[in-house]
Amino acid sequence: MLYNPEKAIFSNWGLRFFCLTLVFISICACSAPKRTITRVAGKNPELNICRVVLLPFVNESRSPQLSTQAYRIFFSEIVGSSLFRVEPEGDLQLFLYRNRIRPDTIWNRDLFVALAQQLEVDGVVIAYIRESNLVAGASGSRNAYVSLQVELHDARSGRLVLSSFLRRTGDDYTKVLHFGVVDTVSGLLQKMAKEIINEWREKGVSGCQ
Amino acid sequence: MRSFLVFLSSLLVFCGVACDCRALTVALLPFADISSDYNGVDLAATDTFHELLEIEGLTLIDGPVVRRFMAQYRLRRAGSLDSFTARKIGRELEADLVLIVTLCESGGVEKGRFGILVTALETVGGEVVWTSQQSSSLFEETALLGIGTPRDGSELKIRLMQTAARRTAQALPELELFAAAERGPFRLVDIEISPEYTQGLSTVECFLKIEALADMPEKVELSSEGGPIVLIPGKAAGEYHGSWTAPSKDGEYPVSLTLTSKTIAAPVHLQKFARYTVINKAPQLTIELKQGITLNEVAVFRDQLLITSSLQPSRPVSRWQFMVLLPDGTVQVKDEQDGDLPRDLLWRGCNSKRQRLQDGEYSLALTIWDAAGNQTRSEKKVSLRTECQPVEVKTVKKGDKNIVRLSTPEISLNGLGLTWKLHVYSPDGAPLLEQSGSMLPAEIELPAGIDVDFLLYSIDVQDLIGNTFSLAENRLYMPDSGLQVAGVEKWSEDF
Repeated sequence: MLYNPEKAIFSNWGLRFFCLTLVFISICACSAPKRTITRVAGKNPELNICRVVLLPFVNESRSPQLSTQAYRIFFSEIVGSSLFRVEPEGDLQLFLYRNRIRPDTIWNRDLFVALAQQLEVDGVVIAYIRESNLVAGASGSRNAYVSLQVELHDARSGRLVLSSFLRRTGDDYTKVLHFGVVDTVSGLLQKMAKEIINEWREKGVSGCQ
Repeated sequence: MRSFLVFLSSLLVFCGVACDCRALTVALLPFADISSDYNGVDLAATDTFHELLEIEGLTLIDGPVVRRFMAQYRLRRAGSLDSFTARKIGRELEADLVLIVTLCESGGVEKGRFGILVTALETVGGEVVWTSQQSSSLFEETALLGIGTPRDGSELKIRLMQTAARRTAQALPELELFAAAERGPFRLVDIEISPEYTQGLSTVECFLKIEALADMPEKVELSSEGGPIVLIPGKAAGEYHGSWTAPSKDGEYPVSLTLTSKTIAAPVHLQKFARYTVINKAPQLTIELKQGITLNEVAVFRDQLLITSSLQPSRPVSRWQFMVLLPDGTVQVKDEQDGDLPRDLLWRGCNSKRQRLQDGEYSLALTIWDAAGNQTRSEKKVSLRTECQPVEVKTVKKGDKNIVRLSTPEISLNGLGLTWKLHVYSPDGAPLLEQSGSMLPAEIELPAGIDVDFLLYSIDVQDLIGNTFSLAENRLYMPDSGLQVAGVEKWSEDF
């Protein structure tokens, strides 16, 4: 049988359609990533922060355990990034107990100064879980979404240094088909924490380095 | 043969000295399971992870030993640890590292979602030195053609725990454990200064609780304005108390501690760990009244008064009292409560038995005691008016013109802004005049050529605080008729 170029692989319309679909999916998967909104407070903020403490996350979502979960994951990612040295969670809890600070306390300058003095920290991370729920993902599963606002304050003055806001769903990290999709809240929070820490590095926070 | 044995033993001794091969000892705390409850603990998973770490080659302190330590020091919380306790674990259990593990997600067999977070604290300075997180789900783990996909959630859980154990065992021996600076041998667990706010030259008391890595301090000295005070040990170990006289001047006074022990080289100073405030002068209290109208510094109201207050300078309040008094000082309402002043108070013009008070003048008095016990008081005069001021309507003759005159007996209340609307009809009901206005007294000319003894009129009156009254189809006698002048026959409240 002679070779007929018209019947070659790429002249087959079905196969052409399949290839085009693959290319289309790949392009869709490589769409521009969502941005993290980070604002730097003032013209010359104090970016020379090495030792930080994370205050308990303020949970505005309906998932009661999410604040502890997000707190520990964010804590883990900061330690892993080596950007800051982090005061253990237990030390902060003791500070809150000793100073009779309730979870709903609005932090003023005096409290920041007491925290800086007693725990010997330079920075305070305050975070708010604005929203969290499950949404129908493109891949058919029910994906978690989380809205997170994280602020970095100078502990010595209480002044805001940086504030980042981002909202992500598990589908935001999909590569091709279902690959790359984040199906767990822990995994999603980990990726969000990494994004925020990278953003802070880009904004000039040098940490202990 | 003998020389070979000597060489072999020398080699072993040399290796032992050169590589300091003491195995890393790790204390694994019970797993915190926050997937369903804040205080959840998963002991089964802890034991599994313990075995996995040992398989990977780590030396672990026995689980029951760790749990006994937690019970002894009343460590009720898994998943988080403070640096002092980490150091105490290092000292008492001879551990180099403490591992705390949190199960962030544990979606069960059906949902198949799992997340594990491992944190390592070194026991010299109590610093967090390493963390690792693994999380996945059956959906995430689905591989091409399903090869290697976990069968269910429990298999996924084991796989992730194996990965976590492997990573932990690989990472821990490579950590720079002793880079952290050693912290002090004591920890201040609790301090209470009572009262936190006080007047000058009053007695201030202090209670504190200390924990020590080894021996308790022999001397605990508290430094504040006026010199150091040696605190007396309490009944329980680590508890101390003492008292002193506050300085006379107003101000915030920080409190520092010095702890001395023979077992430590230098005394430990804990700077400005608490403070107390001396206040001798009462703050200025201002009260503002809303939902009424102020006339000549008297708030006139009909239904209710919203009372807001402010303190200058702002200060914590320990007690407050609200009273409503008659001009002769008789108390009509009295409300006294401990604690901070409410943002606003609402008085509905009733007495303590919730009975409506009569119209008239009253005094509102608010008294507060600040946290130091200084007293301040503010008073405001108010007027309760639930009825509208009557308007007198009569006719007068000016030249050959007939005039309708509207007036109020009380001139002082004109400020209440009475607005009125007057309709005048002939006796058979034909409209003659319709006029409205907001000024009193007022004069309105009647149309010429009216030849009757009386007319009919209706009037609606409303004041600024909302009181309304009306009169309907009253007789208005003409000046020439010689009949009696119409007065206010009957007022009826307009509901």
